[in-house]
Amino acid sequence: MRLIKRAPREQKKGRKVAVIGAGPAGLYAAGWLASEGYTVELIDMLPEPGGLLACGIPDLRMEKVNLREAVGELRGLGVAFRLGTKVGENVELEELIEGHDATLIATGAWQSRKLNVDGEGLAGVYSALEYLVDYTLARHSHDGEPPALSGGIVLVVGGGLSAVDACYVAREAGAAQVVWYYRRGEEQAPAREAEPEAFRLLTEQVDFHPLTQPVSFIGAGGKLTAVKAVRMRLGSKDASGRPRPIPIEGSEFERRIDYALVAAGEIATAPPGAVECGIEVADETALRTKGVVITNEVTIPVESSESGGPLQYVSIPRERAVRAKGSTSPRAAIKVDGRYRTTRRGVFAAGNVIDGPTQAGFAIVEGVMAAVAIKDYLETDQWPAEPYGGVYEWQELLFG
Amino acid sequence: MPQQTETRTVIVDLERCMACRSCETACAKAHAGYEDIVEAILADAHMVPRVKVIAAAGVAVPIQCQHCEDAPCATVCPSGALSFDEETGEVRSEPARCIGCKACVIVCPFGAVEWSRRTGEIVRCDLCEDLIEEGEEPYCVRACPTGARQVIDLDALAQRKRQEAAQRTVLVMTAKP
Ligand SMILES: Cc1cc2nc3c(=O)[nH]c(=O)nc-3n(C[C@H](O)[C@H](O)[C@H](O)COP(=O)(O)OP(=O)(O)OC[C@H]3O[C@@H](n4cnc5c(N)ncnc54)[C@H](O)[C@@H]3O)c2cc1C
Repeated sequence: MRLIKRAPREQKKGRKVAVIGAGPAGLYAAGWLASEGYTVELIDMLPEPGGLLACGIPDLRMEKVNLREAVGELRGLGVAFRLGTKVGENVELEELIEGHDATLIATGAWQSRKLNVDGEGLAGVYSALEYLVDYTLARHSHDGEPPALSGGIVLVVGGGLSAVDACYVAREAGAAQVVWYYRRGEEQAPAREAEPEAFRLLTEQVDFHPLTQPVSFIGAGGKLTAVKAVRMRLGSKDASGRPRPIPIEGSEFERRIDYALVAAGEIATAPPGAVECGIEVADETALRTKGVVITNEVTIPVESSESGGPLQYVSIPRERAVRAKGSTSPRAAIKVDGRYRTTRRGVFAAGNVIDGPTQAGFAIVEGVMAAVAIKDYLETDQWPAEPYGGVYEWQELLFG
Repeated sequence: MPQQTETRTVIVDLERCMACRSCETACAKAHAGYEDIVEAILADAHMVPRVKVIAAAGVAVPIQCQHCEDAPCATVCPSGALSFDEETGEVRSEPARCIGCKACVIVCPFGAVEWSRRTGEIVRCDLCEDLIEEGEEPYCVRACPTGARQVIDLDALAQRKRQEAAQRTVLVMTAKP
C-alpha cells in the first residue's frame, strides 16, 4: 500500500483542497493530490484515519500496519489531518467549500438500516457496524468502550459480509454463544456468494438459522432479554432478483438472547448540509430502478507532458468495470458525473458515498480518479454545465 | 539504489510457443497440490492457472504477472497481500492477507491478478519462488514441450546480449563494403 507517488513534487502549488472522510477513497485522493503539490487538508469524525478499512474490517481479518505506515508517509508529505471533526457538527460544509479551491466528499456509507421491529431501541440491540467500529477503536486504544458481550448469547442478524464480521468479533469478544438469523435461504446469502468457503466454515461454528427473521425484541427494564422470531419460506422473485422471503404463519417462537447485532445493510451518507450547499443527493427509488451504472466507453486521462500540463482524455472501450458493483439503494448517495463532479462547482465526491456499500477496491480507484479530475479542474478552471459521460479507467501512469 | 540480489525470472520465446497450454495446466494442478490432472479433477481441486495463453492477432501470447516496476497492484493493495520487494524488484504475494477488495484486479494493466471466490484470495504468478530459490524450474517451464519458457538470470542475459552486440559491432566494423 502506498498513498503517495514515488517522486512527489517538492514545490507547493499554493492551491488548497479539502478532503472530507479519511477512508480509502479520501486517503488515496489526498495522497495523489499532495504528491502533485496541492495543499491538502483531511477531515474525519473518527479519532483515527482509514475509515472502514481501519475500524470496520476487524483486526483479526486485516492487520493495520501497512495502513498506518502509508498514513505516516502522507503526514510526512505535509497533509494536515483534522481528526475527531464531524462535518455538519463541528465545522460546516459550506465553510470548508468556501475556504478551499476544491473539495472532495468521501464520507462513505455509515447509516445502518433498521429492521423496523418493536424493541429495536432496547439496550443491548446495536447496529453491527456501530459495534464493530467501537470495538476496533477501543482495541486501538481510543476512548470509549464497546459494550462487553462476554458470557452472553449474541444474536447476529443479516446475510452479508458485515454479519460475518459481527459473528467473528462476537466470538472474539467472548460471547458464550453466537446465534445467526438470516431471512432468506443459505443460497441467497450475499456472504456465501462472496466467499463460499469462509461462509460454510462459519455456519458450522455458530448456531446458524437461515429463513428466520426477528419480529420483535423483548426486554425487561429497558434491557434486551429475548427475541421473537418467525420462520420464512421463499416466494417469487423480488426487485433484487432473489426469491422473496415470506413469513410462515404460526411459526413464531421466542429465544433468550443478551445482545443483538443487526447487520441489515448500510446506506450512503452525505455530510449534513450537502443539499443546502447545492449538492444533489440521489433519492433511493431513482437509484434502485436505475441499478448499476456501467458505460461502454471509458475515458482515461493521459498526461500531455512531463511538466504536468493539462490532462487529455482518451476514450477506450470499457474492459474492466471500475464501478461494476452499482448501488442498489443508497438513499443519500451523492450524484456525480463521469469525472466525479457533484452539482456544486468545485465539489467532487468518490467512494461509498456515491456508490453505497462496495468492496474497498472501488473506493480506492475512485479516490484516485477523483483526484485526477480535481487536478484537471484546478488547472483549467473549467466547470462545464453539461455532465461528463463515462468514468475514468485506471491508468498505471497515474502513480508514476 | 536498491541492490538487486535476485535476478532470475521466466522469459518466453514467442516464436517457439505453439499455444498448447501445457503451462496453464501444469501451473493450475501444481498450485492445487496435484501431480495428476485427472486426480485433481476427480477431487474437485481448486485449479486456477497463474499463466494464461491468450490469442492476439493470430499469435499466442502467454500472459502472467510482469512484476512491474512501481507495480500498481502493490500500490493499491491496502492489506499487504501484494507488496513490492525493493530488494529483488519482485511483486510479492501473501494471499492469506487478502481482504478481497479487488483494487489490484482493477488496476493491473495485464489482467494478471485474479480473485478467487472459492478461496477469497488473490491468484497471481509468484514465479514459483520456492522452486527458483532451490535452483529448480517453475512448473510452467518444466511443462513446456518446446522450450519456449525458460528461467533466465537477468545478469547472465545482459552479459550474453552485450557479447552478441559486441560481436555485431565487430562484424559491422570489419565488414568489407
Ligand atoms: C464490517 C465491514 C467489513 C468489510 N470488509 C471488507 C473486506 O473484507 N474487503 C473489502 O474490500 N471491503 C470491506 N468492507 C468495505 C470497505 O471497508 C469499504 O468499501 C471502504 O472502506 C469504503 O471506503 P470509503 O472511503 O468510500 O468510505 P469509508 O471507509 O467509510 O470512509 C469514510 C470516512 O468518512 C468519515 N465521515 C463520514 N461522515 C463524516 C462527516 N460528516 N464528517 C467527517 N467525517 C465523516 C468516516 O469517519 C470515515 O472515516 C467492509 C465494510 C464493513 C462495514
